[in-house]
Amino acid sequence: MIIQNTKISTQNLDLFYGTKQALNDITLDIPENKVTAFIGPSGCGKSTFLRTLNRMNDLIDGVKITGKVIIDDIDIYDKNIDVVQLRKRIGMVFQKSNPFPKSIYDNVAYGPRVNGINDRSKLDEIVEESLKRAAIWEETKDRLKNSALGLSGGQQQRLCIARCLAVNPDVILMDEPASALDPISTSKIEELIQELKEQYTIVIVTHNMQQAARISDYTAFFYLGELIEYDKTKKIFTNPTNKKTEEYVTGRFG
Amino acid sequence: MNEHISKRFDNELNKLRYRLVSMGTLVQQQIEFTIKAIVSDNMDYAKVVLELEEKINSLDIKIEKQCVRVIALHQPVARDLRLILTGYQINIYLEIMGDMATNIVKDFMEMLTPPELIEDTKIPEMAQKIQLMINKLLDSFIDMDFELAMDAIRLEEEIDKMHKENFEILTNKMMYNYRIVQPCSYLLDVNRNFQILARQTRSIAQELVYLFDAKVAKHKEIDQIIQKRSGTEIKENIKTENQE
Repeated sequence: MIIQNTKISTQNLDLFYGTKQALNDITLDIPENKVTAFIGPSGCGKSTFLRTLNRMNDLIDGVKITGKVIIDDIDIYDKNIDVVQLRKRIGMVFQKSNPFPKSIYDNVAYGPRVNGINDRSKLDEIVEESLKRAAIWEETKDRLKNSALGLSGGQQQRLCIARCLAVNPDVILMDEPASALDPISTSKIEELIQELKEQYTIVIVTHNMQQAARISDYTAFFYLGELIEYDKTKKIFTNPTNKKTEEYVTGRFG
Repeated sequence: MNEHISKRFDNELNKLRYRLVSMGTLVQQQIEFTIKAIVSDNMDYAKVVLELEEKINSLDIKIEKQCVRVIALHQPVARDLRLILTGYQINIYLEIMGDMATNIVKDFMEMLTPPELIEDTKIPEMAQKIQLMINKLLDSFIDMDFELAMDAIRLEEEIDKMHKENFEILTNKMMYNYRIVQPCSYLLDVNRNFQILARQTRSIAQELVYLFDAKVAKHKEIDQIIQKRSGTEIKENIKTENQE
């Protein structure tokens, strides 16, 4: 499969936790302004792979990575790369919403402040814009000074997305962003992802295969640390090429 | 292919396969008794066709409901989804075939058709070949055998030729003997209905191609289907599909 407008490209990526190899020779191209889903059974390496895309694995002792991760023609594992700047460009949303125990406003304004923006009117603008993009402005505009912890689980997750958007990233990595949410909140997140892909490249790990089928343009199936199949989502869910992929998506193992 | 983790899902799919094969077998029996009734001028055979129709109608509803249930409860994908979609469609084709056989028999019960008249035509042979087509398709479905589905399509092409020959034979008879216009008209109708039955059966074969290969074989000739499977189809066809 030929990917046009590649945003992220990994080449022969291996990852070891100590002596245990968790990712084996992963080569794939992730397109710009599309949603790419990673699926596979627990322990297959999909979350580990996601975390290699913004060097989150650097924080874990004993991790060794070989191969390349190229984003916009730059190898992010180059020794001259500023990891803080990298993570500003490659935002991340986690499975469990993790707002700071601060106001809704402060949660969103935190990133821009860290990046040196202190002008109040500029911050107001960023907060409003980010909350709007994350489709939570209407629900929070009258209580920006209230604690973020008073929001529902789904709202907290959208707030975390707003916080991620506030630093103006190119790419958003999502690690099971809706797995702890009820169906209505899940639908809102899914709808939001569809809107966000117009401006951002989105990579999502999900255990929910129907979710991957609903929201993604491309799907990669991982198994035992290997990339088994990567193709357009409609191909993966109607006529996958690999027998193992078909067995997984049809619920024959997992 | 291994079994699903969900035994309930496996049971549903196996039951659907079983019901579709049963449906096909009932329709095949209907055609067998339809032609027997006409050739032997025997009402008992005609009654069997009507009895079979009731079973077919009941099974038709069960299959339809089951397909909807599986989609709603199990959200099938890939080959499981194709099984449900093609199963649903094949069921419709078979039910229509059952209705057609029933209508042939109902008309037969209301008119006098001298058995020797049909013996001069290739209608009995057509009926045999349609049954053979159905049998091949049932085997193709059970064994997931592409070639058997192609054999069925080839048989349809033979039946099409017979249809034309029968038309000539019967219209000639009518021209020379006006007293047999009515039974000959009926046989022309049977001839036409058998041709449509064969086309319906061909449509089932094309559905099976989608089930096996996820390639749409509708409205395609046998050469095109085989080329498509082997990947040797001309580029224009591929371009059209991508545009879809």
